Amino acid sequence: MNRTKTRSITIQTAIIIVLIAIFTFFGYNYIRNITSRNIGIGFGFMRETAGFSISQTLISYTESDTFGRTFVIGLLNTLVASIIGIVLATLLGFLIGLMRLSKNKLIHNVAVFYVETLRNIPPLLHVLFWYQVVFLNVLPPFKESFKLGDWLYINVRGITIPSFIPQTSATSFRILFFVSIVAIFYIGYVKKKMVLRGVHKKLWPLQLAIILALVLFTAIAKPFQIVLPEITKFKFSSGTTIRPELFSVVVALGTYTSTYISEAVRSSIIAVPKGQLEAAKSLGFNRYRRLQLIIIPQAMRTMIPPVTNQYLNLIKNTSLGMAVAYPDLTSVFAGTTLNQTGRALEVMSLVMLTYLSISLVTSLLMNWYNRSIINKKGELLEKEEVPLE
Amino acid sequence: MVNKRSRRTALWGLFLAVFVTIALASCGSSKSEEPAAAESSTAAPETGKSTLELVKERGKVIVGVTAGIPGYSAPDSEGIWQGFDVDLGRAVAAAVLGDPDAIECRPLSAKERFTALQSGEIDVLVRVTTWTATRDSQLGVNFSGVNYYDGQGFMVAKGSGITSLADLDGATVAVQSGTTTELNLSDYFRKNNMDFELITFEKNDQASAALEAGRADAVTSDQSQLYALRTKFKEPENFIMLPELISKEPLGPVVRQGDDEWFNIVKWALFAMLNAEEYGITSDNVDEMKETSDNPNVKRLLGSEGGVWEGFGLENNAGYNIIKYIGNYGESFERNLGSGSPLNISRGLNALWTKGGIQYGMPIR
Repeated sequence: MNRTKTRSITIQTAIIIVLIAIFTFFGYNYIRNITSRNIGIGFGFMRETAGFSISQTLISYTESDTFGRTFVIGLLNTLVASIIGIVLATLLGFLIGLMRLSKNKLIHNVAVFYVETLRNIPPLLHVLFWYQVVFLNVLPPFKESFKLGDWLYINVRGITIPSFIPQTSATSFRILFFVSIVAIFYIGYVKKKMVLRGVHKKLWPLQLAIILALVLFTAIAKPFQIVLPEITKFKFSSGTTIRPELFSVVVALGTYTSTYISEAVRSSIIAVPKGQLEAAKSLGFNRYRRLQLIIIPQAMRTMIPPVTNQYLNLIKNTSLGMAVAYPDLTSVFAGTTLNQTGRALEVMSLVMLTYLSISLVTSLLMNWYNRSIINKKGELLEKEEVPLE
Repeated sequence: MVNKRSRRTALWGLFLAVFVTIALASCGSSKSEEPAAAESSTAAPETGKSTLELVKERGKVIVGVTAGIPGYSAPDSEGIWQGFDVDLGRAVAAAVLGDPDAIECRPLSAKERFTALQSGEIDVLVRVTTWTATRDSQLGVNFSGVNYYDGQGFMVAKGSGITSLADLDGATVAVQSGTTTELNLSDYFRKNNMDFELITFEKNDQASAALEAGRADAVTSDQSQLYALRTKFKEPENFIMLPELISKEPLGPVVRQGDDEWFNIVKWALFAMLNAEEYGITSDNVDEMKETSDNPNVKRLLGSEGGVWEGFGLENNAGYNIIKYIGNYGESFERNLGSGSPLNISRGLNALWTKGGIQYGMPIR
């Protein structure tokens, strides 16, 4: 026992020493090479003027801004694509997963076809398909857009919809909107508590009333002015355009990842013990309620870890946007900025750290959510007893 | 049990041994490489012999070219390298060895080119290389002239109504990422208070595809590259170049520093072609001109009078050979880049100084 321990410690120490030696060697080599070329190491370049332009910027950016700001722009674009992609993938994944469980042969087969086709094509091809084939080759040129009234224009330059310009009442609308959302969720929470105590009272009319009030306010106060798209020589002078680059990345990754999520959803639902379903049936729940109240909440616990993995994959895959000129972190910072500054080590390590942080934060959030539903269920069974009336 | 454990120990030992060996080997090799690297930066790799002697001994000139830009250097259907840059390499071979086919083309990437020249792997680099102060001062190379005056240009669709750079205000421009092209472009638009949207692609091909599909209003790059890209379009005639250039890109042949004789030969191979165009000597009439011309410049160029070429360490018919086998500058231009080629580039700045351009062959005196 003691001998094994000593030996394993010796081996581990040896490996650590070797690793340190290797890294020191590379580090020394790097520093020597870099100083012999009078380049030096440091992040000072982040304060220098970038001088190049970026097509999609969430916050203001001009060519006279710094390389540091290009990092922020790239990061934000990566986050935009990730978040929209994740929402899309989750919705589609749930839908397809449930469809595949359907007893209806047509629906089932459509889902099987969807999953088996899309998941076996590499994600890069998905991205290129939407960009090169759909946008660049199928959609009409700028001046000959598909039109839906004056509201929607689709062409090779993207999808243009009217824009909403906030008016003076917009602030109050935003506050009202936020309060309403919180209220609606709170009512849902109260309802659940009441059910647990055995009280069954209809609360949805209250939620509906809040929504109606919000709609009414919008109709009267008109917090946003709708501005229709208008074509000028080179672009739409008004309206909001969804660029083909963003669209391709989001739709490609959304559909690709949704196939994996749908499989996670399907297998998690199958993994719920059959007795649960039978019990629910015998209690007289209809099909929809069975799914909503019994099956999915239990399936969620099994589902979250694999789905988290897929979220992380999607976030990392947004770097494929580089292939279609989507200005994400990889393209803007690890691409153009790296090329302009020549600071390979600094830029690459910063980019790697950033992706690592995004991934860690995502899995942290998902783990927190996972724990929260597991704990709550555990609590339910132990503490809150349903009173017998 | 004991057996298993000892086997595991042995495995670990082996693993460690391999690790240490690799680490030591990489240390060792880096040290032994050091002096080699230092040597390669000096001019002549095999001291004692000049490039001219080496070339004569070898029987051919090794020319560094691009890995394939149509018109400049690209292998034809039979695998023989053809193009404007290759022609200059052939001219050197014709002058030195009397045989235009005594060349070997080495396709090089942008990163490899200077190392290949410095280390003596090639004799002359003719690879759309821009002459800049940094390269001239820090790389141990000499630029021996300009065979093509290039600049950053713009390509647009013919029917778009864009005829000059000023029309591009508000347009979407496609570009290849990580090049100075991107910076020149932003500078130009900013300086002129023009609005534009830039889409940055990984490769030039993608950028030009975006123009072809109508995603972008214009694509920008070195104009020579744009002409080459245009030949790949389905309907090249529907795309035109804007007249303005927004940067200077003088492209020309490069040789190693420290071998003046070879430097002169490469320099004068180009000047011979330029002068021949100026005096109206072509590959067709060169024999006739040699006999009949009473212009002393022509006589000296073709070697029927004086000993200009002997002064460069060559046979006195070197100039005659260049024109006979390659033709004059204009012929080479038309054949590879001009109206006789798919690129269809107009002479522009590359016309002779006598015809409104800036190409100027130094006097044969």
